[in-house]
Amino acid sequence: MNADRLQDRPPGRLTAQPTDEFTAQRTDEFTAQPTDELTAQPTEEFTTRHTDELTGRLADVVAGVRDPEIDVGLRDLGVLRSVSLTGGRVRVRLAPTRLSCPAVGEIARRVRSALAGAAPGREVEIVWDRGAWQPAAVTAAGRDALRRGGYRVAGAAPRCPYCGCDDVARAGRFGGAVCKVPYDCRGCGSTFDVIGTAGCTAMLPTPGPVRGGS
Amino acid sequence: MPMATAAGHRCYELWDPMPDEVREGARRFATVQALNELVGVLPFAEWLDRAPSHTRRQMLMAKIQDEVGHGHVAARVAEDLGMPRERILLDYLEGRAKVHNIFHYSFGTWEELGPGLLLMNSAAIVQFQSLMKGVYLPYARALRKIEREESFHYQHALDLTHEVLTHGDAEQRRRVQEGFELWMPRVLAYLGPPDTDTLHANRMWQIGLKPDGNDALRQAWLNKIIPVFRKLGVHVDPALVRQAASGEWEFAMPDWAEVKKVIAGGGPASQRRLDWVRHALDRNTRYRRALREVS
Repeated sequence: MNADRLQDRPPGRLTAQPTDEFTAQRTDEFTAQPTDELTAQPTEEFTTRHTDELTGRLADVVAGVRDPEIDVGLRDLGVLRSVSLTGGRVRVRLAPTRLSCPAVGEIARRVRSALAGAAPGREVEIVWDRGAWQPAAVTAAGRDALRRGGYRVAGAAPRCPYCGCDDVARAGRFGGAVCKVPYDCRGCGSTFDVIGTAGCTAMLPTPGPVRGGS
Repeated sequence: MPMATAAGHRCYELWDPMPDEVREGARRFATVQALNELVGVLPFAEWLDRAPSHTRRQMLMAKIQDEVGHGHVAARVAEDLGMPRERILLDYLEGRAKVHNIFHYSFGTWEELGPGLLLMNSAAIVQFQSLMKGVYLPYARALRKIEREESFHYQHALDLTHEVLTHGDAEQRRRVQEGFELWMPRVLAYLGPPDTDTLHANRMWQIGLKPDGNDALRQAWLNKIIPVFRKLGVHVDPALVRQAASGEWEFAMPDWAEVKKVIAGGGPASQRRLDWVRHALDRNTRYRRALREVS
């Protein structure tokens, strides 16, 4: 085949048309989405007890939704604050890991999609508690998942998530996002990020007096 | 101590004794990636003040910052292997290093950006997934983390393409279609010339830094991305890409002479990229020097 041939095709069928198939079933070709296994189908009538059970189950469903950037569930990351059920409506309170987190749209889409399976037909309200996220809200399992992904949570003195050594050097004031501070490990040559520093709650890192570093 | 991988290669950590060609090869891979991550944000940076909504602008900004972060990660890996960080951009400005063909172009319209980004991003993901099986482990770990973050950009590209196709008018949908057809040959070329017959003679393959050949990566990429475009409702012209009965993908072979010319600086945006980087470096030089003085 010749590349030149591509230039002179009739323009008639060039217009792309959105397909229902796509809207109905979004592909995550490049990210595994284990939420399906967590999906439960509520069939019970609503008594208080059942409402509590259902709320717990829905909370578990949201807890299992993965963060778009790091392979960790929303509860383990400390992003999921609460799930409540009033009347027919599910209210999900989430705390983004930083004020102007660019992932909120994708997280909301994933939460809605998971709840659409677990509580079909229910209205879903997502409330963002901006500024409420704290490093301490990351669970022990979350810390493990983050460590495996090459991240440490702010708090104690930073150690390399890969080899565990404390011979690490900060490589800048902020990294790929203002909520990530880049580090180098001198022990094993790894690069990693510390998340949950002050940059998470500030709009922008404020320049201080220059003392070297980045 | 060096470890053995499943593929039979020895793997190396930063302080392990390693053959010079492994050290130099890993340094070259990381250097090439660092340069391309940094220059590769420029086609998107041009759209920051033209993105159609606040949300899109925010996501574009996040992508750009992320990619620059990846550039720095790769540069730090290269630095550990002996590549001075500042030389990465200087080598580019002084003509000793080139960027991939895809960064020598600009997006003509917002509608074109979505399919272009989807194609580039998915190809980069497939490439990183391969390179992270390489024998220099600090680089492999960095790539694993980068690859995960890239999948977030992929979602972004998918979402914005879908948005245009769902809410745009016929003219906008036509631009998505044209964008796909414009960028497909460029990204096919980005994955490198055919090498099925020569791969086993490639030293980088032999020492385990290039685990897969260009042709294998291209097939893996088409396997993943063509169904995504079909599902989006984009028409995949068989004259451009088609699947043979065997399952193998056939495609219009890129014009390699043209690709070479573009990479050498003959692309429509080649000069603009160089000028931008030169301007940024000039602007920052005094601050970088001052920082070096006080640190």
